[in-house]
Amino acid sequence: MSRSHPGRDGGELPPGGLHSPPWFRWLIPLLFLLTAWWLYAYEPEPVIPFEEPAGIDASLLAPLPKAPRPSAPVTEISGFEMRCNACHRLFESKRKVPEHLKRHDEIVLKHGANDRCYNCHSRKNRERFVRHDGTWIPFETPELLCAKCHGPTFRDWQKGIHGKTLGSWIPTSDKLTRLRCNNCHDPHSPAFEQVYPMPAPRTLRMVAKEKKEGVHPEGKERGKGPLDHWMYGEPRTHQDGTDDPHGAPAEGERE
Amino acid sequence: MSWDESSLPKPPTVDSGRRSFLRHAAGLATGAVAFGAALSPLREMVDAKHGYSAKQFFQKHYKEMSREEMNEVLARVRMEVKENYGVDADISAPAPMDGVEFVYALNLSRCNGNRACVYACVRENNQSRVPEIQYIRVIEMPRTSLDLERGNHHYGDEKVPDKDHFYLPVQCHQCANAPCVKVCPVEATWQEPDGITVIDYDWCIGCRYCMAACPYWARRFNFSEPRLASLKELAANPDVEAERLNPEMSYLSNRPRPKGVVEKCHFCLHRTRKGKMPACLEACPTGARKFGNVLDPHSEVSEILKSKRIFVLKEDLGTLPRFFYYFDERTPQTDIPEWIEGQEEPA
Repeated sequence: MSRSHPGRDGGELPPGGLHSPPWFRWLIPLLFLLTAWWLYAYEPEPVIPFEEPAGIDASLLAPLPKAPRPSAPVTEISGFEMRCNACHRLFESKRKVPEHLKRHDEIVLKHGANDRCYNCHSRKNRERFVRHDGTWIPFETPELLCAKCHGPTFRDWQKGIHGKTLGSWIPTSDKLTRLRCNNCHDPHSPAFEQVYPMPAPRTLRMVAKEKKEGVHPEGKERGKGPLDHWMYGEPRTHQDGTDDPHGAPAEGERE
Repeated sequence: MSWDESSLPKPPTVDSGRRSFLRHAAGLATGAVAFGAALSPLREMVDAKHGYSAKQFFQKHYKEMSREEMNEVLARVRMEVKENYGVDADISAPAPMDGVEFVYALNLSRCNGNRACVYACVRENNQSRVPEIQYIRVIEMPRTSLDLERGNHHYGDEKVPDKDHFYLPVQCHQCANAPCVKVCPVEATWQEPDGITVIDYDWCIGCRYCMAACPYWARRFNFSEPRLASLKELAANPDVEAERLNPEMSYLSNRPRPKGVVEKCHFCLHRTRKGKMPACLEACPTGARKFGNVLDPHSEVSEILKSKRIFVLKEDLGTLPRFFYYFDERTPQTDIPEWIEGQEEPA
């Protein structure tokens, strides 16, 4: 008993079998060639939303502070650099500090409870600092003066924990520079002032977001991306308008 | 049941006519074109502008190269930099120093979030300005919380430091048990003996597994050809890229990267392996950043690890980072938020 093959013995098919038109067998290779040629010739350029690089003030990146204070008994009075004793050897200041400094008008004394000149400066010789016992400290080692009150910070500074080390990480290297207190702090108002930070990051995804929804001035938007809309719906906010920290993950934490 | 000879398929007869020749020729041509299309990336190998070359394609893995082979590769990179940027680069491949394991420490009481480190890093390491790639991410965190989900790195319209926030700079932590190294399918990233996890940009295939594995979001991908200047700037001044390129570079760190590879912080190894400080540390205006050799008991970082209360990010993951954070014992008087004095802590 033979098996019946519909296409072979022709029993159920018209004579000659199912024949495609003669051009059909060329069709698939032809399409393939056309596609290959098209891909080869017209490789699409990816559209990437470029953004102008953020302009930065390169002087802020200098390793040394912008205006290192001189480690010498020199001060600027009315535009001239003067040794202290240029004036102070001629006359003796009153013990009481005047309401405002008449000559040292560039000095802003904002050092907390330490608001007396002679806590640090010697009354007798203005080109020295003094200790509590009256012995003096040279201008070149201001850290010994600061250590009078800031003991723990001075201890940290000695070990290299506080302050800034430049040049080399090798403790014995001759290129190593340890900055002293007055290289970074203004001794008369030592706290660092608030500054404007350098520009926030603008990665590809965040550029696209800004273009789509506008730049948010407060810079604290969360959960406003398209995926977040889909996952969480409209971002929830508190009554006072602040963002709900639990409503959606922060936008920028993953790129 | 018996076999009927006529039901078996007939042996094929060799058809050697004109039609069959054309058919086979068409098939062969199609196959050849397909093969050619599949190999088309090799066309770019002769094009140095794209950073490919036949030599690069056939070069060995970094760890298997001999000194001569390494010198050849460095010469090729130097030539490519000269061709693309017109700069004579001082390129080297410094080896890790003996008895050195690098560690970073960051004082969160001192950091004021000014981002000088971010831009010093970009300039030092020839990162792409367009689109922007930055290794350091400074996160503004609410005080009294270390919940990274509440962090924000878009801050920047108001002066810093804000009294209700502290600032947490995050970069590659150079983990001793690095998840990114484990997942790399081609060993393009590995840990050097001095603790720095490096990437061979010529070996990276751009699969981005390491980026998915890194719990600190420290790795960056070159989605497009990195540019040191925008198209507008380039049109105005074609030499602007050469001006911005840092010519002091090394193979594993800050040489120009091609499109499609991953990059990240490498503790400025072209500087630190020659004894210098990292660029982010030198730019920090507050002295919050500390760097050194943890195997030296008198180094600054060793003193910090001994005497400060340090912590690492996401300690529970067991990644053993070499990047430590610490706070000073005493909060500066001016930084105490108002709610400490009798008010309720904000949510």
